[in-house]
Amino acid sequence: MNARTRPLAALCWSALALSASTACGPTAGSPGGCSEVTCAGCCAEDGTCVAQTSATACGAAGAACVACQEGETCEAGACVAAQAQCPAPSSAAPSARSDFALAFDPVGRQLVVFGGDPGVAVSCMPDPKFEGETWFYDVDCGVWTRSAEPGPSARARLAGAFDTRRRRFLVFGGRYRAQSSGAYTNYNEVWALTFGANGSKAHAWDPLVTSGEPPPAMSSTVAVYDEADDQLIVFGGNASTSGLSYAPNANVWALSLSDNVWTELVPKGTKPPAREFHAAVIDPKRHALVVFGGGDANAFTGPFLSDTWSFSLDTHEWTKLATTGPVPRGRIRGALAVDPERDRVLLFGGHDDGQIGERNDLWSLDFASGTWTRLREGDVFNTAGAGFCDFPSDFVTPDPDSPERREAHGLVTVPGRGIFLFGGRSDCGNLNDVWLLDPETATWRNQKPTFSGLSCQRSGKSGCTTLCF
Amino acid sequence: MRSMRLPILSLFVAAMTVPLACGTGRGMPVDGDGGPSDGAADGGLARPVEIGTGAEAFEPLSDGQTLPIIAGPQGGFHLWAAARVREPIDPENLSLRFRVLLDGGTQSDNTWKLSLVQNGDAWEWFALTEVLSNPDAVRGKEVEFRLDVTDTAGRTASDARRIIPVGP
Repeated sequence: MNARTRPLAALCWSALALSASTACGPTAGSPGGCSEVTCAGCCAEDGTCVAQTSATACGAAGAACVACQEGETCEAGACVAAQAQCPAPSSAAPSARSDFALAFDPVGRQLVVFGGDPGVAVSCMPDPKFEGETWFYDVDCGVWTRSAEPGPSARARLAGAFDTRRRRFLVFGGRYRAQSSGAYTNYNEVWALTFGANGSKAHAWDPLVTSGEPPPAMSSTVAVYDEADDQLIVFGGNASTSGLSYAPNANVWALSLSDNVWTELVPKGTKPPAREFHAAVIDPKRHALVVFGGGDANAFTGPFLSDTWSFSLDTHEWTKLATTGPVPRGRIRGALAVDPERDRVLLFGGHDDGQIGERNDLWSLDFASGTWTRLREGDVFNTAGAGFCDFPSDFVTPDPDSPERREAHGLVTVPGRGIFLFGGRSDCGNLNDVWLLDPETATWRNQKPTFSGLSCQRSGKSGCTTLCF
Repeated sequence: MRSMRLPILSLFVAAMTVPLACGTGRGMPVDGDGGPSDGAADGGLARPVEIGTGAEAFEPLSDGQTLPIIAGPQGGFHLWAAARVREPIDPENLSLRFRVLLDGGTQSDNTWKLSLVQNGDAWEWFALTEVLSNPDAVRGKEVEFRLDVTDTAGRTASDARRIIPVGP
């Protein structure tokens, strides 16, 4: 028998537990004479027995009732730390998707996901679609909940960050089109998903009214929250509305969140090449924006960028990092997350311009030295395809301890837990799995499986003859 | 024909004994004799296995229902297949064999081994790609869509529906 909770078994145990508590006898109210002989619960000050103990009157075997402290509950007559009240297990989850915005709400202890692209390629040709849903993933209970609140219109290839000072999720940019061809609508508006006070799960979306000159409407950009200066930083992106060309830039904008004013941060010295599909984080110790990879105007075919840059948010100077030593292969649509305890940033996945395409390798960039180290190789290229969109089942030798190869996924740091991975696009569709990385050991643990998007070899299917289907 | 559903249950009595001793027996099959049954009709008891469809959630199937043929990312064609199981079927490392049968011939035959995900009092999996080697052979025709499960203890159960693949 497996270790999962079984409903009938649970019912049985509940019944037993109920019987046991009933057998103990609710004798509250018997005046005086409260003792271990007469009272299975605790004795109140007036000498009555409190059989149904609670956080306000806790104890057992006729002991004097005590009031538990805040954050404690009364379990079997003893005050213990309250456990998270987890909802019932459910297979509910966001649809498999890529190109969404993801952040961590440290007060609510939940991942926040908005938007994305659930479209699955047909015969290796992309078929973009757009989501406007907001989902929350409880990192302690491992349960997804969909927001019922109205929010921004559907969009993908947007950027998001969490404003920890105001407990709100900010999203910027993105693209949408109603038809399957033609021009996209790009966005440069900022929306805020603000949560209630005191850890409340209540939330509401509102557009942020800004002033100053905003960035152009664009997709495939990055947005990070600079807590030290209380600003949202945006760098690069694709302003093209065509699905057939790219218009990348290399500009940095700051949205001051104290007054909602946009300012372009004019850099000193050499700027990095213009790009989209890159990844970025804040290096909190050096108060800098760190950027890796992406694509330029040739982002359809590459070569993709493998450079790493740091932009000082104090001096507005760019510095190229990782000029010596190994570097991750150039890629688009990879993801970064800070590992603050080890003063570094981790890179997972993305799409390269080599034989393997989608990747699931794991790298770390030491902030202090600016050098990259490969932590996990991931899947290894094995057998080439026979032609366009004709890949064999042994296209790669899978690393079973790494998540499926992917791009346009989300990676976010959860202090005290590790780094969470959600979703993305694989060779075989879109994913909606959740993984947790222990950054110290570079060990992945699956938290939620994906129902789609896995290559045949990883899907549990027998007799695979092709990579996908 | 009222039903071609075939939840053929080959359930071990020993495995049923413990949960039945606990109480209601909800979720248990009503017959363990290996004959056809319809749990939903026989007193409203939930079936231990149910075939379904769906890319984003388990969706029940009805006899006579049309089911879209989906074009896959690598040029193949498939139906979305889904499974839901209840006790006494053990959802860990469960073997799920889906088949599409037409006039006694097998049009598709795909097997997975998976640990299903709990959803309420059942365990389920969806978005399985029942690949059709020749979609033209079944398009627009009523076929039997069949699921056979075998758990690690050797318990087996089956379910089937008459469906009509359509498009693309």
